[in-house]
Amino acid sequence: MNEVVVDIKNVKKSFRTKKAVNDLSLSVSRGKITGILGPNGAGKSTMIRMLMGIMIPDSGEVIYHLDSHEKIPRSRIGFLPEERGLYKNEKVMDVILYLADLKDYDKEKAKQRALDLLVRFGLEGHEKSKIEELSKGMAQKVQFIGAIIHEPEFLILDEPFSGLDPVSQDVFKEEIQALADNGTAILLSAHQMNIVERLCDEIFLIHKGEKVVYDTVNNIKEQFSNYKCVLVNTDTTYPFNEDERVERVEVEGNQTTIHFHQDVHPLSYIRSFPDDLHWDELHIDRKSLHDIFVSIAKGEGS
Amino acid sequence: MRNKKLKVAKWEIKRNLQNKTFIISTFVTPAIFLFFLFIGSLVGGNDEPDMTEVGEGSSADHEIPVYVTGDEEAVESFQDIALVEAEVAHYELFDGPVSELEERAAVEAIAYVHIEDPTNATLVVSEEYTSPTMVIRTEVEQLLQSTQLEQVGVEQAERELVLSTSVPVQTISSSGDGNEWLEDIIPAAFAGIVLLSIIMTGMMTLNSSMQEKKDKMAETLLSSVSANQLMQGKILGYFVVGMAQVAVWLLLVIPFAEIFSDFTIIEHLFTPITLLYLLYAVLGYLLFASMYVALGATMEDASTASNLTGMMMMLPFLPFALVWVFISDPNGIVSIVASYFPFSASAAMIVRIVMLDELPVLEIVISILVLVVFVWLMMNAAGKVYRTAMLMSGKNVTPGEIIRMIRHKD
Repeated sequence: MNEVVVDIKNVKKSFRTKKAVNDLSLSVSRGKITGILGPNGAGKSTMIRMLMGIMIPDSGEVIYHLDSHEKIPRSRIGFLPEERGLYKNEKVMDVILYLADLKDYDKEKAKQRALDLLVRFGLEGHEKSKIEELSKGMAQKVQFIGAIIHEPEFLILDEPFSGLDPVSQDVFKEEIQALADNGTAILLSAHQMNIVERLCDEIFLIHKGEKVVYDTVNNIKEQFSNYKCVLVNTDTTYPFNEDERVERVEVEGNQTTIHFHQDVHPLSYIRSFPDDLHWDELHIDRKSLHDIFVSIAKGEGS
Repeated sequence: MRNKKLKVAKWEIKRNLQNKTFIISTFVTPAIFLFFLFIGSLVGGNDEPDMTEVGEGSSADHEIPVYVTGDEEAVESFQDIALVEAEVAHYELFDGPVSELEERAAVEAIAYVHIEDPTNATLVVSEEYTSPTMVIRTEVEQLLQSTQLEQVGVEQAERELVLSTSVPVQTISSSGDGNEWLEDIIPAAFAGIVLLSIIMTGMMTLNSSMQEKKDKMAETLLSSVSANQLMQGKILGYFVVGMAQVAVWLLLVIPFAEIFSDFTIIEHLFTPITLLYLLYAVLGYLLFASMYVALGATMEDASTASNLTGMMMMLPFLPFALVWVFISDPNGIVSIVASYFPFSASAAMIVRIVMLDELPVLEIVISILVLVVFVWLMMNAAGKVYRTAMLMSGKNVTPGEIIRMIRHKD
């Protein structure tokens, strides 16, 4: 199943003199979770707003293949924005039903589905509570329900896990996976790399409005997962980063992490350590998606 | 896509009609009005019997002596009718020269009627006695009219029927039943209430945008409806809310007004001129509401509004500050200029149409055209500001940014 739901072709968007998005192209397919990653200010939100028709690209195209006469078939798209918010003075069920109504979803069906989803998200009995009476996490769940109440074919989730406790994160992860399994095309923007690594089928990584990499998670790891070496309780004054094989060095507490350039095997580097350099522990590992992200964000890995 | 505007409007109507503050203000306002009406009727309750009882020898007719002097024949005829038809026994014939009465009126509280011939009589009343003047004048007028009718051969029964002496106050006017002024005032007052109410509810669109921005609902909503649909839905919704408020007020106030006063509101409310007034009110609302909804999108808190924004928020209240100028000098330069200035045109024209017997059709057409053009311009500008400003969070939009948003080409 690789049916493309939306094609973004060479879109550009500038704000006055600043290029927010520069010539980006991306496709999202049914049943797939595509992660859109990038540091703050990379252009993710602009990209998402262009997808939703909230912003119009300066050039390029956003083409939906959802069998609709509308350019942006809003009723078939679900959207959880990064900015969390709902009508604070309104009741949970009223807000969900209003959002469903705006998506032209049948009211009775929406009511039943809302009750089911509230149970699934542990919010049973809260349908008549006002949003302001809920905790931040609970309100976030209501907003998530609002985004999926109308059974969207394409779902955009902008930072769905931020501010959630680990248990709630798991609930969200399961729900997102279930939606993808049922054929929903999902575009996921998140900073929790471990979750992205586990959930996403492919990743679109951008930095300063430019594409850095767009590939499957496995291919990216293959391509970018250089080695790293962690030394515990070593001499932090030692000039590890003076070696040209080293990409960068991070010191955190008693741990010193040495990141190597591509194709550098750490053993050859470790052999070059002086005999008097002390350490208690030494670990050699591949870079995680998190490390790749950090490398790119710091402009070292692109 | 279908009816998204209506869906937004429906939501805003539902939210407000369930809002306790709105419900309280809707019912408290007419309650306050009725309270003052009631207090007014208690305080002013003595006036009405005085006026109607003068002819029956009430206390008021003893307060001031009334003399009749002048042409002997005419005075005689006047006196006959006064005694027989109006049962007014307190008129006293005065044989002396008029100049004497004139001197007395200058120093003491008297009134006198100087009848030179049956068609020409003058009523003089001491200055400090202004309140009974109307009553005396009414009676004197009636008696003179009756005298004149008698002279042209109208029988007493017919004269009584014509003059209907039992309600003297109502016969002051030269023709009709005395309620013609209601024909002008009631539709205009209704339009004024509608205008005021929908300006107030127009202000609620500002709060609605501001609250949605504060609640960070903008992106969620804009993922379902376009900015224009959202804005227009709000304007429509709050218009209905404003009209619902007016409807409640009318439903509560009209029966009381009909019972406790002589006003026949309903009869004078549904007239063609009401439609013209309503057109002005609706155009005024569209202008103000679209401005407010856009201004609301530029800030998260009214207290942090810039000076320019604050001034713009006050613009719709400008005509209310000038309303006395419109009333006192409806053809003055201020009133005329205000009729073509979009933010005051609605109120100025409503007042001027009431105050002037005739207002050139051209002036009405031009003022409506000015309003229509500015409503269109304002809605376009507001749409541009609204869709950009709603997405800007964390700071208020500066006037410079607002101007850039308006100038930005789609």
